[in-house]
Amino acid sequence: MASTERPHAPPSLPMEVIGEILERLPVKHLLRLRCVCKSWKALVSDPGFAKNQVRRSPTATRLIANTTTRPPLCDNAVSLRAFRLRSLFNDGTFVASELNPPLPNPRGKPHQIVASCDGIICFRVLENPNFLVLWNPTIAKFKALPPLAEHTLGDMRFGFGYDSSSRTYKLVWVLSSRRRQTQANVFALGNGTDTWTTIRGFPSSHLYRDSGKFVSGSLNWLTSGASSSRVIVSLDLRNESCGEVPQPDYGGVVLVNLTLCVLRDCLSLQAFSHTFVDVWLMREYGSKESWSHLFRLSFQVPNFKNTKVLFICEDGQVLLLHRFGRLIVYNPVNATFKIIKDIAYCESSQIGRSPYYGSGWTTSVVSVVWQFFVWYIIAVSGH
Amino acid sequence: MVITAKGKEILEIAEEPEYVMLAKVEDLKMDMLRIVEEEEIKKIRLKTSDEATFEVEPSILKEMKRVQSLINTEAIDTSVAIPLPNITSRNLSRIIDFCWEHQYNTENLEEFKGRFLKSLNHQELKELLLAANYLNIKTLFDFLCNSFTDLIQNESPEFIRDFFNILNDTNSVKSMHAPAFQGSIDDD
Repeated sequence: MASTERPHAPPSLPMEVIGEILERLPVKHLLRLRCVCKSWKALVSDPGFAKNQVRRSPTATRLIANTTTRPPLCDNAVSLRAFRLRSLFNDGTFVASELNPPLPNPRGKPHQIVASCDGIICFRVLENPNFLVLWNPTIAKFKALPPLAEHTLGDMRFGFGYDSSSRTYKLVWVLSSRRRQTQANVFALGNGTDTWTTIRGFPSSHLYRDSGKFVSGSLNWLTSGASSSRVIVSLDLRNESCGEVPQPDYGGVVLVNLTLCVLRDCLSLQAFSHTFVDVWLMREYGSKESWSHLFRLSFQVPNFKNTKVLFICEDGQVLLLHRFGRLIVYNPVNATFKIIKDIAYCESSQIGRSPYYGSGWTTSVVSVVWQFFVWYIIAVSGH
Repeated sequence: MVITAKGKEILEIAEEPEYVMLAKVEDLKMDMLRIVEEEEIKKIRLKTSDEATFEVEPSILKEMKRVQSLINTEAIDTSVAIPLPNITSRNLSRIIDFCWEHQYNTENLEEFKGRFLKSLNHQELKELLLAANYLNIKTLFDFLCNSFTDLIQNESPEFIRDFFNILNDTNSVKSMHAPAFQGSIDDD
């Protein structure tokens, strides 16, 4: 068999190979390379490429939080910032980028961030809480969603994740109430329907104030089940079916509080007693046997009570959020603490109240069908 | 008559009680089957675009997913060399080198990778990436892709056009330094 094609021409790489190279680049370089040529720009804007790129990068490289320069809070000093996790862990310094939401709230009030996934942040419009906006700060694009239904009796809970079977991002909105039937709706982005659809069979239980944790294609919420026990309700985004996630054997610990989070891309539980918190990790999603006890943080210093674990670094260091909004780096090996000297004060009341207190975020070039929706104009002009 | 080592073993087994004998014969069969299989795989030869023939051992061949699938699915006659019209002998020997080191050099693989990369100019790097892509060798392909990202990540768009032989078909230069985290909506 003879080689016939272009024996002496310099090899040019096919687009699929270029894609493989570019998806290994950090986002900040990718953005710069969009202007190389039209086909590269098209490649970087391609949803499949963006998903591959984000899959190769860590799920959280930054912590986003509403911050203010100093307490006490004044109305116009709140800003949304992204802190580089590496800097926090390595030398305990804040390296922050200010994120400027596309639709600033009047009087500088903070946006209520309800969920985030793959670099896309979802927030509620303060002026009209029935409006949700999806926003990718990295590529400075946003999309306003059609308004939620009018009735707002009950607590609204949200969750945002990716369904790999239909290759769509899905935003889930749960209206949970002690008196009425729980309602759950889903908005699939990019399938062309642009409407909220009802999820059937969502269990009637009260969801705790926190956004759904996205792990292994499912969203997970902590709920109060029958006889005030706590139940983890899961929603598989592929077929939108609900289930219950098994919990670890807490070993006789008298629980006063339980919180759900994501650590090392696994579902994690923080089981609070009066004097300590046990941190658990479900290494294999859905398997009760895979729950493993990571460490116990005891509240020897009384002020550390109700401190939450936000992240675990590869080297084992842990980032804690103090209940008054300060960040602490904790080393479980020798039980040492390092309080991060803050140049920016994470707004305590906001972090405490917000369902999305200081959360993980990463840069990405993921976009959904970005359009400037009329609904938003209605929302703003209505006030 | 020459009695081989295996043959001798068989004769020895014949002395054993029947149930032991049956088990041992079964073991022996498996053994021989494996040897025969390995022998067959060992025979696989690859022919490059410049008509050079390489004999490749099974552990290296296993890395070349394309050749593997050729053998498994297309029932290629493995007694003749498999032609690889896209690969030069120079590149195939580099590929075999890399796969071998990747498998057996556990101590200073990083050092080898450094040397391997230094020995290639940009043109050769591209050829090798295409070859790794063609043969579907994941380890080498990933390694080369990562090397490419290291080479280009801090470079200007001009350098990159030059590097990849790309014609500039964009008419604006304004998005060149578009920084992240800007509040403005992008130009499209």
